[in-house]
Amino acid sequence: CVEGILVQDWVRSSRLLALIDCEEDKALFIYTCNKTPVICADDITLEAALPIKGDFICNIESESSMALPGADVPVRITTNETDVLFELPFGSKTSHFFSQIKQAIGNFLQQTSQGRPLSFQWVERYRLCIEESQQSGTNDLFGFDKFQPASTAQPHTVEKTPPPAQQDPDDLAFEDNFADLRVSQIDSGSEGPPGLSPGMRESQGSSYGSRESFTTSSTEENLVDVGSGSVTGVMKTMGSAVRPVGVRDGIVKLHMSKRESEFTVLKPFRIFIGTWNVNGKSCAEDLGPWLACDAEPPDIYAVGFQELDLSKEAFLFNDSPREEEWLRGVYKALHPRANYKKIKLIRLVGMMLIVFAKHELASYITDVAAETVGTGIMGKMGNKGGVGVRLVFHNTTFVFINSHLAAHVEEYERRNQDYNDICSRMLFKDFGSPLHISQHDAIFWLGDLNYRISELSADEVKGFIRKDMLRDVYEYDQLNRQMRIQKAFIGFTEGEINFLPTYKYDSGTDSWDSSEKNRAPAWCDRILYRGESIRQLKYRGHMALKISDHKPVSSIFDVQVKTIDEKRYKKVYEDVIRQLDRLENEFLPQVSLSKLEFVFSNVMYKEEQQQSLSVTNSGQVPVQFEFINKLDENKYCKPWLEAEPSMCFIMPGDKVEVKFIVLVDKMSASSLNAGEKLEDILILHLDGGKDFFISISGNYIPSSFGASIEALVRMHGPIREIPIELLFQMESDPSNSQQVEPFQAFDIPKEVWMLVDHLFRNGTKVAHLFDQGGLHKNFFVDHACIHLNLHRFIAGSIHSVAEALLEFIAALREPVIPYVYYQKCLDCSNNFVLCKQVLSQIPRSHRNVFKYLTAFARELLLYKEESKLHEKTLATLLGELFLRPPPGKEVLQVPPNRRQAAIQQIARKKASFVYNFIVNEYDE
Amino acid sequence: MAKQYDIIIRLLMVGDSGVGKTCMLCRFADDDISSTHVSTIGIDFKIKTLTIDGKKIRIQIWDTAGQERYETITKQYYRRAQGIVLVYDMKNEESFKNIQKWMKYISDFAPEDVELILVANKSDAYNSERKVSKEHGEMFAKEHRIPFYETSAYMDMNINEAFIMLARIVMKRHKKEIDKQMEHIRLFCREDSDAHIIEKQGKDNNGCCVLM
Repeated sequence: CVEGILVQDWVRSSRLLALIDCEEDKALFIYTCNKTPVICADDITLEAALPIKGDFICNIESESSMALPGADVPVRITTNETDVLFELPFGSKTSHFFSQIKQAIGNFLQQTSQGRPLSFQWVERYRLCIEESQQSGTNDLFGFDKFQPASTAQPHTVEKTPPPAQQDPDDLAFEDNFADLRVSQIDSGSEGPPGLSPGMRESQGSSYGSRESFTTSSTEENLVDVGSGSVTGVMKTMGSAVRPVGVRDGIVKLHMSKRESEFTVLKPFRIFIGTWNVNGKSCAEDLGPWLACDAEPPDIYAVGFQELDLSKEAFLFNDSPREEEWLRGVYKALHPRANYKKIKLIRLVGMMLIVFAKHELASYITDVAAETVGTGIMGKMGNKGGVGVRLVFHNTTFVFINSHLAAHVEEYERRNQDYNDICSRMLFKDFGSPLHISQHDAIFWLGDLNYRISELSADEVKGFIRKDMLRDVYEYDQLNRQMRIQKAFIGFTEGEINFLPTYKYDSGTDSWDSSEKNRAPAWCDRILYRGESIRQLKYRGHMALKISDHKPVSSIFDVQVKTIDEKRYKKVYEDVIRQLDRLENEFLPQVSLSKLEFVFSNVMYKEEQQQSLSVTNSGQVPVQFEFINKLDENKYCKPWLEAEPSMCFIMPGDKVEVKFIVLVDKMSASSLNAGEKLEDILILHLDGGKDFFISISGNYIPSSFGASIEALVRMHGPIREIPIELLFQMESDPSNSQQVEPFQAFDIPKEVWMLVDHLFRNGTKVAHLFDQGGLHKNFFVDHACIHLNLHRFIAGSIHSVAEALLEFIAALREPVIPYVYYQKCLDCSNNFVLCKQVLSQIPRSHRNVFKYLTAFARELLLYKEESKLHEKTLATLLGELFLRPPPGKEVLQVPPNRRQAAIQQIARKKASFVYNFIVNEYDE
Repeated sequence: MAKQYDIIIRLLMVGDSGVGKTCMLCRFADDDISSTHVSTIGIDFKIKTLTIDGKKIRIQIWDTAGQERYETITKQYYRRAQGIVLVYDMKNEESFKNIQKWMKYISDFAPEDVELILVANKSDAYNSERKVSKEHGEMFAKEHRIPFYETSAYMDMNINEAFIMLARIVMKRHKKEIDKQMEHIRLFCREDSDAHIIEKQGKDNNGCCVLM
């Protein structure tokens, strides 16, 4: 599994790629990440499931294959239906993932060629799931609302840790994530195909153009698939430079709101709030006297109704023809001197709230949302409760709540409770964290709050009213009292009431309730407000409207709205962006290095030198560094160099020591002898950050190890006494060197002779001459002697001399049998005559060394008893030394399952070639 | 719901060691330069967010080591650049001559549709210190049909202008892709009011770039 970035032209969004395997079949699953880092299953959404079969192609984009080292790897995935481009993080994890996919493709081809086509039925199920959810995504909001509770209520959640899959320790990070996967089991009775049901969730635009994608819940069966899947790879953060800016936008908003006062100017706007309990009546009256009784047209209207529809249908199905009717009625009656646009309408059973704004202001209204809360029967139903609309007007947040609280004189505590319920349950979503009513600048609460007059009888109330002593009645008003003792509507203000109680009248009249209940008049219908910049201008009842047993109430407010001064806004915005950019740059990975240049002097063959570099994380975030390859090179450094560790993770403030180890061995000695310089530049790449160049240089002291036979036979003195230029020249053109040849060339390199001579004198009867390594210390002593031609003083143990001989032969720039004859020798290894023919073709000095060493081998075999040597062992040993595959042909081009056999076969051929010459006398 | 989009353009700075590439970058991205700068040994980058012609763009600017010994390595970074700033020091004739060399590398290693500008840095120099005349620089730029700026990272002169010019011609070059992307963002992400306002301002200013 690898975290990658989906590239759609210039937009990048992160995706999670996982190779899922179910028995034989494999499929690539692509998840969208709703959150980074991904922690649990809710953070990812299955977007596509691509079975790895014939049409599945996965390639590194050729166009950018030369991309800079450390950059993300562009990978294109193509099937018959899709064609997508991903950027995967640079590094070994990605290449591992990539090779796993390649392997899966190969596996598929193999399976089908053997007549066992894979069905991918399990993948089809996931694919159905995705299709299903994407189709549902086109449903309207209403359908979505209805569906949501159905799918979340039924499933019960199963948490299960999948059995550990076979994997590298590196991959544990991802396994942890998988362990967190919550897989929901869904009753097969629910919507969708049996056993499958998409649990819905809104998420950001998916890659295939559909606006919503949904999390896919799996069945129990699918759970097993996920569990048994061997998932490889590791989560890796992407370079921050290409990280999506989603988070960033949130931060910009936050900073802007903090500095709001710097770029906003307060301007007054007129708000009209109206409320009316229409007692289930249809809209048969002109609402003008209520809604358009002022000279100036208001900027915003918020009009609330209660008991809009008292029918059973409205209660049970929340479906009412009255909605349209009253909307039209209100619309007609809005102030004639302005054009209004409906911003939002929300209704719950009989409670309806409509918000209008002047046409020209509508574009300044954003982030509109509506919610409902039922507090009726069982505390949930919509016969009582509240509906609310919130919006942002310029830069000021508004919320309007229309509520219908519990009825009956004595139920005032229940009303308080309803108020509290609405406050706690009315949450506006889709704005990051859900917004409460209290989180708005201007709050208007209207509706039939149902608070009555306590302690006074109906007649007493009516008496006061007749004497125009409304103030005295107000003293007995329950809402007034509850607010005073802080039991409800804390923080709200209500204007002075100097209109008649709005309840209860005989419908069609202005006369008090004449039924036998003889209810006391009360101010059921109220308008309250909360917010610093609100000024109430009018608060009144409207006696002219008569169809209901309530009278409508309205209020006019002036609200100081924060409008944006565009010039100042721009300035602050730029400033915020600048600061964030700076912050972001500061939070890029950062390290300090103790040194950027390393010089290794007098490097000698097989003598290790070390220097260390301290890497300190001087930044503010954890850093991962890695030495990366340079263009067209397959390792991050030259063969004689090693960095330990070559990849590491450092916490801020911590320090890591990187050791640079220089060691010239037989692999690298010959090119250094031939004039290549001891120089390299390493690229130290910080994951998601900068690259450092580290220079390594030094001088190599040439050694006869790694020299060519041609050069060695022409050197009569010690190699270190030969001028470097001459040496390079001899090495660069070994065949043609008449001019530089001071004397006649030796038959064989003197070093070979020296070592063999020493062994011949002292070692022929020593057991296991070549099997035992000599002491390392002695080995170096021998080196020095060889370089200085001090053969008389060869001091080490006989075994270390033997080892030196083998090493010397192995390090020869070109092996004893030159590369061009390698294949010929193998081909004719079973025929001594042909072998002799090939041998006669190789250069004289090479042939001499070959003859000399095989003769020495024959000599050793004379003392078989003591030396415990055997023809076959010796032949194998010398075969490996004499016959080396040409550079670049070391790796056999055979399938992995036959590789071992092929290697053994070649080894046998090498041995048998040499064997011919050990058991037979040979002379030209 | 967080928006998951980003429009990024990648710019690269090349030029001899010591011409002031890193200072220019610091001035542009952080509006700050340090007087005790050490030679860049490697590749560094900074990010800058801009609104150009009403479009919110993130610019990633890569600063390369100018020293000759690293040329073989830095060349491989050209590949992904959409725009390249060629910088020389007007007090250093050699650095101007070497622009030829950098141009060669660009034609060898950078994408074919890469956009270039030529910048003569250190315009705060006294007349007596100046070794490359403005006319020379202009002529060279004209020859290659690329914009030319004399800048001073030290005095903060023309730095923004130069980078924004390059960003703008890169955007022009890739207009199709960017417009498609903008459309995508408009359709699939809820526009926030900030972008709305900035975009509007961009238009009001007759497409003039707003630097942030």
